[in-house]
Amino acid sequence: MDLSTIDGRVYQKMYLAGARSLKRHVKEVNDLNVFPIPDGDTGDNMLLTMLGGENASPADDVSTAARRIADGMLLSARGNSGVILSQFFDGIGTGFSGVKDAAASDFAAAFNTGVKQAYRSVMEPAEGTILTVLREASAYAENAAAADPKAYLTAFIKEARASLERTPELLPVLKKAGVVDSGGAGLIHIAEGMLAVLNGEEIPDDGSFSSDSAAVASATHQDLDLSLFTEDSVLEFGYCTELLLRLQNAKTDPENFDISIIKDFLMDIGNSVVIFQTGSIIKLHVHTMTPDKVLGFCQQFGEFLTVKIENMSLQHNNLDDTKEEAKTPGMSGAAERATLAGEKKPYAVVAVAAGSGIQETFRDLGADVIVDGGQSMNPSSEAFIDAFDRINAETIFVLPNNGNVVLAALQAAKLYDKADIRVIQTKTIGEGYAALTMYSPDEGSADDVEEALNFAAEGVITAEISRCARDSEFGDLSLKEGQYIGFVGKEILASGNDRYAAAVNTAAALDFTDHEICILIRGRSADTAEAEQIGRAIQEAHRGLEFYLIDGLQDIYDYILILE
Amino acid sequence: MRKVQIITDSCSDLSKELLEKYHIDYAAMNTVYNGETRRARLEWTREEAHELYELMRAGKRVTTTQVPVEEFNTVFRRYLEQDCDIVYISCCVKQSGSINTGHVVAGKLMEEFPGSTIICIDSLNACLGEGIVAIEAAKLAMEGKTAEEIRDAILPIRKTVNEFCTVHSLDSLRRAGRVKATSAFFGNLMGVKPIIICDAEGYQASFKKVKGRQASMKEIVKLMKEAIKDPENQTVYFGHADCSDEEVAQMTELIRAEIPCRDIFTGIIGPIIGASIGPDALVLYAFGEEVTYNIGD
Repeated sequence: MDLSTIDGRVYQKMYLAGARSLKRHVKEVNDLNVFPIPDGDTGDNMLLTMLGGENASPADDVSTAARRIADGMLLSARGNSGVILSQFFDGIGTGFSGVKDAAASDFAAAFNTGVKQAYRSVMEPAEGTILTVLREASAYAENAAAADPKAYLTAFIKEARASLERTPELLPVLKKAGVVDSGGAGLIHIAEGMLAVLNGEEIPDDGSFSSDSAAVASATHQDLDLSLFTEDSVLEFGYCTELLLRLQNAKTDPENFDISIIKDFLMDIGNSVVIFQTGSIIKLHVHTMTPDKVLGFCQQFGEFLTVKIENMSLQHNNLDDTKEEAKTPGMSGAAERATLAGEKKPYAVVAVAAGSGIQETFRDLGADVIVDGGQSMNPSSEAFIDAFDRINAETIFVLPNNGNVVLAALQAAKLYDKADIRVIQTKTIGEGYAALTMYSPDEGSADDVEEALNFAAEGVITAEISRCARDSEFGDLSLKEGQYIGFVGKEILASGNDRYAAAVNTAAALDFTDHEICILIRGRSADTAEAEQIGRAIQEAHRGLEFYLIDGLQDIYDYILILE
Repeated sequence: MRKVQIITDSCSDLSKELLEKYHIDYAAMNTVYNGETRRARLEWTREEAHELYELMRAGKRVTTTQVPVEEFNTVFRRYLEQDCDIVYISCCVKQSGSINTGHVVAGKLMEEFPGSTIICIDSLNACLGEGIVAIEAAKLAMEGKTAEEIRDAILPIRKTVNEFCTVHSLDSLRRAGRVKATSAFFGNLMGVKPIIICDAEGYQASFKKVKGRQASMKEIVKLMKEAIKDPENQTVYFGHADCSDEEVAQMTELIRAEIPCRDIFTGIIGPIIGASIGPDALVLYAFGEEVTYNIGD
């Protein structure tokens, strides 16, 4: 095989091999975690992002292939590293634009475009991350004046490895934790897989993508709660309908088939339409109340290869109103949410939250749709788009509530054009909670509401208390498995041999000046009596402080402590 | 010419001192707790007030009843028998039906006392907002104005009473069915303090929220500063529901620093308003711009 240039089919093979290579190392990448707690699954995020490009229809020219792969990734992108990765590949798609067979110089140009786009996707690009690795490796490989793509990638990987080793020097928190950047590590595994194809090596597939970690499994196969759609349920959100259709010679002329016939039909009977054709195969995605019509219409032109139809009430089990407590008439959240499918309202809120109690609290405060997720399961851009689709509002405010979710929310906002999407860049549950409590949907313009939400989120401190899953060193701190740590962002404030001690020590390390309100969100593993005891200790230490306890029932974080 | 006696009710929250200073009498409503009915006395002591608010802090529910027929009979007769006319300044009908009872009783008594006049006026306010309307009426009565003259002077000023109130939560007001809130008040807004005003219709309207007690205290002072007219010649009336001495002092200091008013009256919110609004409420009253905000239905 002549590999002096790469066509679309080889590029796609490289991409798939890249994904497989990452998959084989996904646990390793996940474990490059700043804190020894089971959060921040960079490997999962990057893998799930890659998964979005996996099903792209093949193309002979690299321009089309790269574009299709990138489009798939944009939607599946999640987590900061995932979004950056998707933007990098999107840039590659742009860079390859119009190129049929890519030579080394085309790779250099495309990767450079990818790097620029990756940097642009982040508000405040941080060095010592996947961005640095991408930038340094691309620059090095370009200067290496490689003869062919294989040499280019070889040089890219060589420098990427060196760059990765330098990340702890650029990002103090990595040095403290004694790890290298996880996103950069994931990138190298992907690049290695891509190179393997050019070396004629096979990367064995470890089975389906969905076999490894819990997050991957739950993102690709949801445990459906069938009780969410009962004998008396009304179909509110319709069906997410996806199918592969093989155009048939007996029914139509596959070569000259005009895809817009199906597209127009789908737009008439549904929304969220995504459709493309490769050869005689058409792939489509639509949200519709009447999937039978989709099948009937499409079958005029061919036969189905695969069909997936899911009731979206089951997919999105977060509009459950049964726990709604009685409130003053006219002010119930249920009544307000009834307008979701009906009349268009000026404003709505989409909030990301994990833990049934936190989700309920956010719904109670007026969030229209909750996107399930958070630190350990970062929602994809597509999850946001699905959420937007279920709201009928002029302006949708998004509360990502996690630093690792903000980018995916922003990416979704960019991809969405049916409503004015405004991402309030809340980086913690505390900021999101504070913002939402000050949400006043009756007052003022979208700018006013946005400003009020941003203002309310300012200055809020969120500390989290979690259990160490393994022994580790963090700076001077020696942490043992089973110990608890309390941290704010990337800074460990306190540790303790038990949950109570860690919580109280963390509170003691916080600066309460200018904070009047303290909210403790109890995780699933902590009990109420202990939480109340912590509350009393905090109140004793800070007279006049208002203390509130929320049963958040979240995983991972035994307690979330918020100072407003 | 007949003297005019100003009568208000337990909602006016006029202190013993103010009642005496302006020669105002009141018809009492009742509180009900644990099946026991008590006369809602405005002359109550700080200790009695503390006792009631402590009950509420402990989660006990205290309910209220409007002015009974017999009470109106007794109070109105007291002055009719002295050949006085009466102007009754009531709590806003949106909050209490007492004025309707008062009106019926007044009609009967005017027949019984030929030549007497009893005029019932809805103050369109509650608490010290009602109280300061009664005070304005009392000043006119002391000047020797007739009941009709007083009515004509009082009707137009009712909507110029500005109320700015804050509470820890809307729970008490909601339980008592005495607040209308915008949809911004979904859910359990822990730490968020509602700002309540008396709207153009006389509804207690929760129209704005502020994060934290300190901010809410500053907010009501700021709102009053913006709304008050001719502060140099006015008293700012500050009512509180058994707040700590520290908080009362802090509030007084805030008012003094921000509003160049002639003086500040500080009083405790009486048992009837207290039972609805709950402990630790803070409220300011003064005359200012006409209130146009309407929370609607």
